[in-house]
Amino acid sequence: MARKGIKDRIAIIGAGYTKFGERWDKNQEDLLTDAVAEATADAGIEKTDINAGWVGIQYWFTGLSGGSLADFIKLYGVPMTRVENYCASGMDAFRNACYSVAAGVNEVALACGVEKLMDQGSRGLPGFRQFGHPVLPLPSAPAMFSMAATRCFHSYGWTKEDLARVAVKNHANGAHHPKAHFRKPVDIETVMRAPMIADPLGRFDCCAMSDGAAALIITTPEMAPSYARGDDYVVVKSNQIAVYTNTPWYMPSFSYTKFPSTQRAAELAYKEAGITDPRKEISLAEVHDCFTITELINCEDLQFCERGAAPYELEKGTFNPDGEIPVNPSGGLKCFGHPIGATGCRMLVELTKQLQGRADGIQVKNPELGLAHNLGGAFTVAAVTILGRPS
Amino acid sequence: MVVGIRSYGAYIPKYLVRRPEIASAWDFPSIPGTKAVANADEDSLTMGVEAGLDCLEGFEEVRVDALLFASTTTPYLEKSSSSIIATMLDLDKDIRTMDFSNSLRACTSAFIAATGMIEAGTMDNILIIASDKRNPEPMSMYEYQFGDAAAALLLSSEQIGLEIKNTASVTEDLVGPWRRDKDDFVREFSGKYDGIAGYMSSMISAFKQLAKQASLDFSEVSKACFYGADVRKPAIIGRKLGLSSSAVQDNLFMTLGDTGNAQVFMTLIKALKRVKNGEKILVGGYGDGADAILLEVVDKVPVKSLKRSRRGYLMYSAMTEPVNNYNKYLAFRNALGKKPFTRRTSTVTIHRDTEFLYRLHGMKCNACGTIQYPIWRSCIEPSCMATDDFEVVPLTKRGTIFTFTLDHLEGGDYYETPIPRCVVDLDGGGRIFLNMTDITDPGDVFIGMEVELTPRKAHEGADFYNYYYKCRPIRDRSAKTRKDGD
Repeated sequence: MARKGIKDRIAIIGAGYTKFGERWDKNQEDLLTDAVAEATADAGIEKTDINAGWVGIQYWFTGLSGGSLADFIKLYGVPMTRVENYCASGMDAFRNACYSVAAGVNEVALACGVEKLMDQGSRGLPGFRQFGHPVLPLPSAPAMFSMAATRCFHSYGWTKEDLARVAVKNHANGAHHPKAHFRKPVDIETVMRAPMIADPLGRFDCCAMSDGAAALIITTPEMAPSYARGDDYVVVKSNQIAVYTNTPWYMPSFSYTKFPSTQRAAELAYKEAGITDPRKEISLAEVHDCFTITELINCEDLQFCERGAAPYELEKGTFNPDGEIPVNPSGGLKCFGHPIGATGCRMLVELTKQLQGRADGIQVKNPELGLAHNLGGAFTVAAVTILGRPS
Repeated sequence: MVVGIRSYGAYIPKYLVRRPEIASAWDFPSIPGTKAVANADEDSLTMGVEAGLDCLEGFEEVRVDALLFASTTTPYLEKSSSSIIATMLDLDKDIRTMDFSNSLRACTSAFIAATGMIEAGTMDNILIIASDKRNPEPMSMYEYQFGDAAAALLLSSEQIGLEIKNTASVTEDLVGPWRRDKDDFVREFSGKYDGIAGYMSSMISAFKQLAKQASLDFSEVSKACFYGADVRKPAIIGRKLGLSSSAVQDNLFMTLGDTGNAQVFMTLIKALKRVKNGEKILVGGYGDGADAILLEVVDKVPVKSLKRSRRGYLMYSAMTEPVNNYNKYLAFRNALGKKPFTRRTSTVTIHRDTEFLYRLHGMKCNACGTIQYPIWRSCIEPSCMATDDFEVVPLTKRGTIFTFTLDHLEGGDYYETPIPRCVVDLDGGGRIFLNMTDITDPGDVFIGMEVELTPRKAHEGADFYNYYYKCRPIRDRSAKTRKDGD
């Protein structure tokens, strides 16, 4: 049986998200209720019109099972599933929703994500003492990615200043975004002087702990015009996830200068979407800048530039909002923080608004195709989704 | 049956405390010298494994029939330590393991017991490990005295250069130092009385008995290794026995402190630096009585070759450095009341994974040849992924750093931060991820640095000592532990 893929078979008809940040006065129910309400209003539907829902949640303390989604938005009696797939949880929730609609099982599906990190009171992502093997060491997220930075410094001669430029660019972008956690530009000295988290990654090299939620309403392109925005919907061109090991530090061939999961997901996504020259064809990209080093490697793994060249492309403006291929015009995880389950859906909301020309404050000029990318765990799970205008 | 010492090994922690630092912390009169101090992640068990590794270096083919562990500070009061040590030394499973504890002469008692077992013909090779990490109360005299170290001896009926000629023991229940089951610190009533009525009396009595059994004239003795809680006591015993003034060996109190059960073995190991055929050597352990041992050098050649092939006292003592201040020492002792680092743990998982956690075995994929760690069902390489097609292989405990980070988020409530966390390519194959320990300046870590694996306490989840390995810069001057140009 030939595999049909997902290209042009799904339409996004509603998108919504909360302001991201330290939402001390809100809980996960508040956040998800607000995001879903914004998305359903955008689509012009009631929540009871939703046939099925998938929610991306990474942490047990945010919520367990589909019951969390059903309870948070108080929608009972329909299929609801929690998806946990590290930092790609939200985008994987979207993938599941897409497949259910493409299969013809559902007409209207909800894909959403939420995470309530701040209530845990921990300094970094919590729970690392609960995961994995009881004795084998497990690096914190900054430690995992900083080992890639150390190796790139060694292999390519990249410097801490190269990393800092990523933070400077993204903070400049996020300053214009009304829903960003951080809305203040930073200069390179501030980034360089910041306290170390996991050497060589300092505080500004790391995305922040943050709370937030995002939601998307999808249907088929055939049904899409009958909803509130009419022909102004967005279609899915590809959606791919690639999964490798949870413990790359035991893989003798692992280079730490590239992430096979991203490379593979990108390869499959470009093939599915029929893209042969990503740098030329992709209008903008929201990539997983959990750490500054990650964005540089992502740009190479996503084939936006030559191997080892990301810092030089960044410096000459290739990835600026007005550059050849804008990367993280929203400000990225650097400015939104990273409420794990919410991030993937938040990126898809960004792309939807960009492609519809209503990305207030950060609108990229005439976008055709937008790419969103997550990279989770120990470079374990990569998700790439490409959205476009209906043809 | 002739029984003798076939090999020895030592372990001295990297760090020393200068006694004047202790004096200035409390406005005490100063005592010169240093003492060895174990890092916060070390205990008598981990130090014992290190000494055992050193002792068995080059003797990998020798079948060890029993492991005897001697310590007053076994980490568990109920649970064997020798069994964990034997596993971490990758010894066979069908051997005898025994803990000798609760006495400062557990070391010599284990020695005498092992001698008897080999003499009886039931065993050929017995490894004895003596180790102590005694906890002195801060602001006490013991704080000047107690040092941490481990030493190991391989007793055998084969290929011995050092023969055990005679042993003798006396028992004398007296009030030397003690520590009750509910005490954190070692206590004493009258150290002076114990020195006279206990130490002097028991040691002299045991050695006189030994001399009688062996028809030994003390003037024939060229080396005497006596346990001593301070630097003077062994010399007094020597005088009272009529030994020549040069015979009594330095008990290392001035450099390492009173290292408890490790002391007399360590003293012997140091004394074996230079030996002559026919030399007679005394070894004496004390604690509620005394043990006396007479050794004779029957062939200096194997003894001398030991000195070259292991770290022993010489290399380890040359690779130490003082801690910067007294507070750092307190942190090493976990004396600051901080909660130990914990993680979720499972003794079930640990037991199931013993082969790779303690024995450090890995696997070699038959399909692609990749040596890897830990042991799983399928090959980790994406280009292979073959299932159930591998053999288990032992991995080496040396390697080179492939990449690393200095992690400020890890273990901040237990150890100093940042912690270097290192991806290490092991010599001979296998890649592993380890925290680094015994690194004074984490800024010294670099890609290409040569490291070695050291057994340490990883964490204390479930109120259990979760042992694993860490890496450290190789304690050998010939290793690459400095960046080019530094």
